[in-house]
Amino acid sequence: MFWIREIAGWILVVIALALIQTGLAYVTNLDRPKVVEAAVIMIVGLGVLRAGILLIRISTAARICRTERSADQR
Amino acid sequence: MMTARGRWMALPGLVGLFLGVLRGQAELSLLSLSVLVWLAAEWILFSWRVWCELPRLQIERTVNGRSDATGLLWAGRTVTIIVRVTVKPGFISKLGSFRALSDSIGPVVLIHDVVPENLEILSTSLGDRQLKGNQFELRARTPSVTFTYTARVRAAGQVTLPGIRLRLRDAQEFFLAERFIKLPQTFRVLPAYAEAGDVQPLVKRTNSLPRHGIHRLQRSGLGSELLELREYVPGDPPKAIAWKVSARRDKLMTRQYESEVPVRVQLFIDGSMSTRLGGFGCRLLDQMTYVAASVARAAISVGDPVGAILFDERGARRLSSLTGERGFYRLLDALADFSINPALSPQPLSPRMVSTAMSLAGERYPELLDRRVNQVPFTLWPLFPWSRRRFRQQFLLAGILAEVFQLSAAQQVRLVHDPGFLSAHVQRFLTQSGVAWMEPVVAVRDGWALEGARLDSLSDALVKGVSRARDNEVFVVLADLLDCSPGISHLLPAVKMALGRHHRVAFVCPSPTFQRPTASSTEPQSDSPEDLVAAAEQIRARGLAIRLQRELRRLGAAVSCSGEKEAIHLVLSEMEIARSGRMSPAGVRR
Amino acid sequence: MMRGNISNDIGDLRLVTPNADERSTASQTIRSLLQLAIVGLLIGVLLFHNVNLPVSVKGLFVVLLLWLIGRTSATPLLIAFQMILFFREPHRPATADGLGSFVFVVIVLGLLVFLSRDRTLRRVASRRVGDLIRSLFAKRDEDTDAAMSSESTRPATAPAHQPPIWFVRHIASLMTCVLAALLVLTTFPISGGVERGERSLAATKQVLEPVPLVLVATLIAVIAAAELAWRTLTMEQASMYLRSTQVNLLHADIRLIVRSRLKYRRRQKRTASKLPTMAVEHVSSVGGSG
Repeated sequence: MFWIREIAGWILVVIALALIQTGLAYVTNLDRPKVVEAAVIMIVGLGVLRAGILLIRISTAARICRTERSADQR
Repeated sequence: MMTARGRWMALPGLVGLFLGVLRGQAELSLLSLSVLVWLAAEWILFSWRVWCELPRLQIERTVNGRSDATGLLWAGRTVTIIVRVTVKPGFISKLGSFRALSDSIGPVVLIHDVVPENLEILSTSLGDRQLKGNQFELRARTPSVTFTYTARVRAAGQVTLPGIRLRLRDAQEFFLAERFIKLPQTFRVLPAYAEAGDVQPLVKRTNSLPRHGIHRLQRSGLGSELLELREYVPGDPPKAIAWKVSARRDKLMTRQYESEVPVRVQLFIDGSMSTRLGGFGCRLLDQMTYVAASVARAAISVGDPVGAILFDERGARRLSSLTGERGFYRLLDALADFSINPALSPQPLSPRMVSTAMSLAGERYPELLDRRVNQVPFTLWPLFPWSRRRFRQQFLLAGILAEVFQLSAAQQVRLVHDPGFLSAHVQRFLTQSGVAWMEPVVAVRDGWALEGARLDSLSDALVKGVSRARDNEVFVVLADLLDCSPGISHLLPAVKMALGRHHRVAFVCPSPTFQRPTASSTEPQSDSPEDLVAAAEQIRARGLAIRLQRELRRLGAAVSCSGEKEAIHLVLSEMEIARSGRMSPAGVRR
Repeated sequence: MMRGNISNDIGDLRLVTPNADERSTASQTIRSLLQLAIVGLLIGVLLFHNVNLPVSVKGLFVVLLLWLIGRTSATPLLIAFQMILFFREPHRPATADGLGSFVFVVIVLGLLVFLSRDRTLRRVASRRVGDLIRSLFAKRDEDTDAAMSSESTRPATAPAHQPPIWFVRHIASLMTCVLAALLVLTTFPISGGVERGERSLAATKQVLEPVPLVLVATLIAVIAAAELAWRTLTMEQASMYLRSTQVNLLHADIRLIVRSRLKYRRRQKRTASKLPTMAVEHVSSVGGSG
């Protein structure tokens, strides 16, 4: 179960990175700079990144807890 | 974690790079960027050590040659502790050329065997004389480390060695990582005692003891077999006077009989709050357990049975009369258990209490103070920076306490918002970690003078002791009575009853200053504030002691206001008087 | 007081015990001072190259700098070199000019590394001049030496501690750092035009083009490193993190509940403490009326 969450987390991180790159590309495009759109995409991207990392970290921590506890019980 | 030294190196690097890029100064940019790359490389190497080396460390500790999780120690004796740190082979060890690097520790690791307050470190570290013996700084890569140190156990009770604290640094001290590796070893600490020969040569002469509980004589101390004739001493019973011999010698002579009835010693030990205050080894209870164990040793070595009643706020515990070596060790076990500080009654929360708990948490749980794992939620309140800092500190502490005591999320938040709840848990945390009952764990001494309750419980214990007593018993009351001397009248009926039944009663009231409150001891040794305060305390103790002694001696009880050998002498003298059957303690110093 | 002892398997004690080289013997003090003199000379040469100042002023500055380094860290040396470069180096829209700059930066970085690691300077700076002079005439502590040398055994990484290999390894690592920095500066050449306001749109576009990719690549590297590090959590840390996350997410709600409960309890206590007095008042009022 924790693996599914971790994979979901990594997927969110990848989506967030794509969003961030898109946002940066909007800003660095000096021909037609889209500052407002870039800001919106960056905020969304950072939010998704945070959520993805939270999911990865929680699932990893939970797995560590479960593994160690089961090792202790054995 | 980057140290201040690392940050101060990174900051000029960043500023230099920025200025170099801005002004197009290639050499400045190159130097600054090189410094940053060097820092990054050091960080990678350091992180590698933290991630790969630390989890593979194996630590062994032997205390007096034993590595068991539990054991036995003696108060006042020296303990030899050996710590050995090795590295478990990892997957890189299979690559031959890297084995030397992979299977070794260091450099710059501070290994600190954390000890509780009840252990006093006697040796210094070989690596650095400024460090104590339980710390060792490793400054080169080595396959294993073994260091030995000696310590002295301060007081009876319990000692738990919780584990080893490791402090990893890189060679430049730019990065720092701290870990606490749990390696708990718990020892019961038996109280120290003076050997029978050291305190008084009161070894009973050859004797034929009846079986326990069977008395051939109604009167104590007067056996049927004549031992010797000696000169009359005031207080000898008239029927013991050898009239014919006295007439022949023209002076009174007394028949000294061999005692056939053992002297029973009943110890009453006070373990109330006030006796447990202070550093380990300096508590009144430590003095009392020393006297009690020494008296028991002397009594049991001559075949006299010893019983005990241990009382405190939790109630009284009775130990039936014990004899022989096994009985002596049973008594020591009971005294050791009794010396362990119980849970404290709640105290008001103080900033010092929180800071002490934080520093202890930093020592025992450094990894739980990591900001990544112990997060503080964002709140708008409190607004002021100092209040925010205090809130943050309390939240971190609440997180650690919740983890240690396995509290729920609601209880964790309550710890932050309810000072009483936090105080109770902080006290529990500090007491369990082996911190003595001193400030800030408990408030000042005045708050603990519950004279009435303590005297009532002592009085009850004494009455119970008398009701269970057989003939020829010596009641030894070890209690903190100096502060109770104004209300001593609570206790007097029970003492009168004991004396009225021809038992001997001796009071041992240890002094918090560890000195007998004599006239000479009240003179300050110098004009330093410490000596003046000590003298003032001694004057106060002397005043209380005089009052107490007057009240109790008027009834016929013996009193010693010391927790040292004088008290043991006094009790053994009382036993000797009880044994000889004399009514008066003439010639015996009190 | 007893001193702790250490068993034979620790390796070469001269390497692990600072006291082994902290003993104030004359030879060691001379060695330390000689070492510092060489370092000072090198710093002086590098800092005051082509600078017309009296030698005494230069010497005083170097001594002051070394004292400051001994008291703090190697940062003052870095700042000194940066300031010299800042004021002396011309604005050139190019990368560092060849081998000269490379060697200069390697030597400065080497000095920084040496002064950050070595404790000689720190020890010398922490001592009084009188103590230092006295130690020059101190006798060698032969007993301690004998005790120390008798315990020396096989070091863990014996070849690495031999001076030539140690020197080559460190030089190689320093050169790697400088080369990496040089590579970055070559990939993104600095022109210094921002200050002069001479940038054209095309040039700016050229510089900005790889920025998103580089930033995202950096972000990926940081995330990967952080998540790898995350996997080394201990069970206590993992449990603490889960607890902490739960409290963080629900903090506002839990705080509200806890506070209202505490208020309720306080109110209950207050009413409980008022009740007996009220009862007594009631009884007395009843008695009074009767």
